[in-house]
Amino acid sequence: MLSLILWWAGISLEAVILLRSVIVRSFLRYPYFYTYMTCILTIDLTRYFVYWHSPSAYRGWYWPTEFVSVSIGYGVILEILRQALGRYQGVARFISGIVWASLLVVLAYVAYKSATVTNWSAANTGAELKRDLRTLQAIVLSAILILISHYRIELTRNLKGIIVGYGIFIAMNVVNLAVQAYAAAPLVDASRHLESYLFFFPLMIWTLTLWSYQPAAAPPGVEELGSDYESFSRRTKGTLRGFRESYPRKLKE
Amino acid sequence: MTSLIIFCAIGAGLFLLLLLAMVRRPSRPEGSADALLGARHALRTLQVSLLPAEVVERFLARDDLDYVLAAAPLSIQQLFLQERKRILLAWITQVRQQITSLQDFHFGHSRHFVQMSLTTEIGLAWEFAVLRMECRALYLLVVLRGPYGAPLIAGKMAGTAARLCSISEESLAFLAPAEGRAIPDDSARGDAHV
Repeated sequence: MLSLILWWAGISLEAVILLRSVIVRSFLRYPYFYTYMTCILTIDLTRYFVYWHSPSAYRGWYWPTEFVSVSIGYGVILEILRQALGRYQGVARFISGIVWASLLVVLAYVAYKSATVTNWSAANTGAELKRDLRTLQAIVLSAILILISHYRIELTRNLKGIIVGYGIFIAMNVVNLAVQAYAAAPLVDASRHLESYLFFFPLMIWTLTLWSYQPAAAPPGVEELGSDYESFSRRTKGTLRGFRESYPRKLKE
Repeated sequence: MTSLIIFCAIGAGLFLLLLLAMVRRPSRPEGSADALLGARHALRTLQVSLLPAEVVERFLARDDLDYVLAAAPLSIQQLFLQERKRILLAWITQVRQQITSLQDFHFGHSRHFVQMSLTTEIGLAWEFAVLRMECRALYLLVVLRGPYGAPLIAGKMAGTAARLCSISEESLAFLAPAEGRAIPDDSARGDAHV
C-alpha cells in the first residue's frame, strides 16, 4: 500500500513540476530536462496503466521502459552541460566530446543488449545493464562537476536543483544496484525495497528548486583584460616559474 | 567484494563532488570592477607591503639575533625567536595567499577563452597545486626548525622576495592602470574652453 501511495505521489510531483514549468514559462529554458520529465511521466503513467489492467504483463513492460528512462537521463546531463558551461565555450569543449561519446556508447550498448538478450524479465541482466549505464552517467556527471568546481562556475538555483537532484539519484542508484549484485541476501532485499523510493528524493528537490524560474546573470565581458589566451597563460606560467625557481632551492637547505 | 567497493566509491565520489560544487563559492565576474580591483590589490600587496627585499631582510637579519643572543637574558631570547618565527610564518602564509589569488584570477579569467588549451590548463593546475604544497612544506620546515634553523634560509628568502616582486610586477603588468594623459589646458584664466 505504501508503495502505491509513493507511486501516486511520484506521478503527482512529476505532473506538478511540468505544470509549474508551463506556468512560470521555464519549459523552453530547460528543454532537455523537461523533455526528460515528460518522458518519465509518460512512462510512469503507462506502467501504472499496465500494472492496474494486466499485472502479469508488468514485468515485461518494466525493463524496456526502464532502459528508455535510463537512456533519456542523458537529457538531464546535456541540460547541465548546456546551462552550466554554455557561456564558457572553451571549458565546455573539454567535456562535450566525452558526453557525446558516452551517449553513443550507451545507445550502442542498449541496442546490442536489445538484440542479444531475449528475456528482458531476467532481473539480473536488466539490473546489470542498468547499473553499467548509471555508472557511466555518474562518471560523466563527475567530470562536469570537477570542471564546475575548478572554474568556480556560478549556478542558478534552478540549475543547482537539477544537478543535486539528478546527482543524488545517480549516486544512490549506482550504490544500490551494486549492493543488489554483490552484497549478502538481507542487504539485497532491503536494497530492492529501497529502489522504488529512490526517485522520490530528486522529485522533491526539483519541485522545490524549479518552483519559479531564476534567470542567469548576464555574461561578464573580458575585453578589459585582453582576449589572447596564449599570452594570458604565458604570463601566468612565467609567474609560476619564478615562484618555482625560488621555493625548491630553499626546501633543499 | 572488490566490485562492490568500486561501485560504492564511484557513488560516494559523485556525492562528494556534488557537495564540493554546491559549497564552493563562485568566482567573481571577470572584467568587473571588483575583479580588477581585487587583482590590483593583490599585486600592490606583493609589491608594497609583502615582498620588498629590505623588509624581508630586516626581519630576518642575523645581526639582530646575534645582538639579542649576546646582550639579552634567556627569556628575551626566547621571545625574540618566537616573534621572528611568527613573522616568517605570516610571510609564507601571505605568499601562499597571493599564489591562491593568482590562481583564482587565472582560472576565473581563462574560462572565458574559446581557444583555451586543455593541456595548458591541466599543466597550470598541477603547477599551482605543487607550488602551494611547497609553501606548506616550507611552513612546516620553519615550524619544526625555527626561523634560524637553517642558516641559509634567511638569505635565500630575502633574495626570493626581491625576485618574486619583480616577476610579479612583470607578469601582472597587464593589470596596471593605463597611464592617464593630462588634458592640456590652453585656456586663459576665466576662459572656459580646454
